[in-house]
Amino acid sequence: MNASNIKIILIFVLTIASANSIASLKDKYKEQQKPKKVVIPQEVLDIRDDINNTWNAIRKEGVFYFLMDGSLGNKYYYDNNKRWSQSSPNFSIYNDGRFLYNDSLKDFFPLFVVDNKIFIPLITSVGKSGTSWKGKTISCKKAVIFSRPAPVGEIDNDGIASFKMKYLKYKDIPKELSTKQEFEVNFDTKECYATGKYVKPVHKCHIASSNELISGNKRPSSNLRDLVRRIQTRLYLQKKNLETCKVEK
Amino acid sequence: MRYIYFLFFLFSAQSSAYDFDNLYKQMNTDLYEVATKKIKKKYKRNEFIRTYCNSLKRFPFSWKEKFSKKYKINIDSIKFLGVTLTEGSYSPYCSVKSSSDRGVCKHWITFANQVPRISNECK
Repeated sequence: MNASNIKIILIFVLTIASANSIASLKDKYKEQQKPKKVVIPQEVLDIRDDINNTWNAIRKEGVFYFLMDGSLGNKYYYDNNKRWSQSSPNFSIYNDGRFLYNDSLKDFFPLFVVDNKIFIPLITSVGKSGTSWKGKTISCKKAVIFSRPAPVGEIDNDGIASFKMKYLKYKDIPKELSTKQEFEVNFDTKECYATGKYVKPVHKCHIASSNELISGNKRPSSNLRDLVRRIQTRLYLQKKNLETCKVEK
Repeated sequence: MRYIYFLFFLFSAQSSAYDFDNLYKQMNTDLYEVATKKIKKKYKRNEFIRTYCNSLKRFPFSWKEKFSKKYKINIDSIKFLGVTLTEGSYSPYCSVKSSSDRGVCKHWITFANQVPRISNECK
């Protein structure tokens, strides 16, 4: 075999090799483009469906309320001189019961009333340490966020409920239950009184259903509408990262 | 026949009703369970901090190396003076004192994922 033959063979081999490498990259590219099959364990899907069905039932049969602080002349705060002072309210209430919000929504929290039971939506992050849902423990390698209905109190025969919670500052759904503020609400007359760690004197608070707030606004408040919608859409367990979850018992 | 229809309606209406009373109780149980787990985890973490802090008798060599490099001091001048365990309202805090060419320094120990890390800041 002379040198020219060897050269020809080498060129031939290299051509085939490079053609193969191009083909393999092409194949890899095609492979990459295929949507990856996400497998979510059936038990996890069952829990997701149950969470979503639970919220559907609450939304269908319950009333979505906002509990708010800051009526005219009734809002107190601990000022720099360490005295209780009154501040300007977050909203005004008209004689016909309509609400008009000022700029920022801060002292409020959402709640649902269904069958005389009061629930608040509570943000739950399911990570490696897991959380309980109806006696089952679900844990996820990558965090999955969902809102669970957390019980805070019951309405008695006179329409009155006493419970503890705290106002949220610019957050739409609370992350934890709190005992920092005490509330007494008459759901029939819409009377509301509050006292707590930050605002000690007993003062009036307000309760209004989401429908009243949206439809009753004299000046449409986009942040209020957005808030109601945002909460409504966050009441479900999303599908993202569910493939990393498992049910332990 | 009407009676049968009425019974069927009554049965179907009742079977579709959601049991909120049970949901209320179940969510309470769930949250209690979650809170108990959280408390146990916190207790375990706090115990780990206390045990680690009380058992610390000398600085790890790797820490001494980093500290001496950072402040450009002689590694042999670094002496272990002792640890202080402070009980906070949320968790215990651990700090350690060193004496070296840099003077007497206080270093906080942090515990991320149960991995202790001695700060090489000099306070």
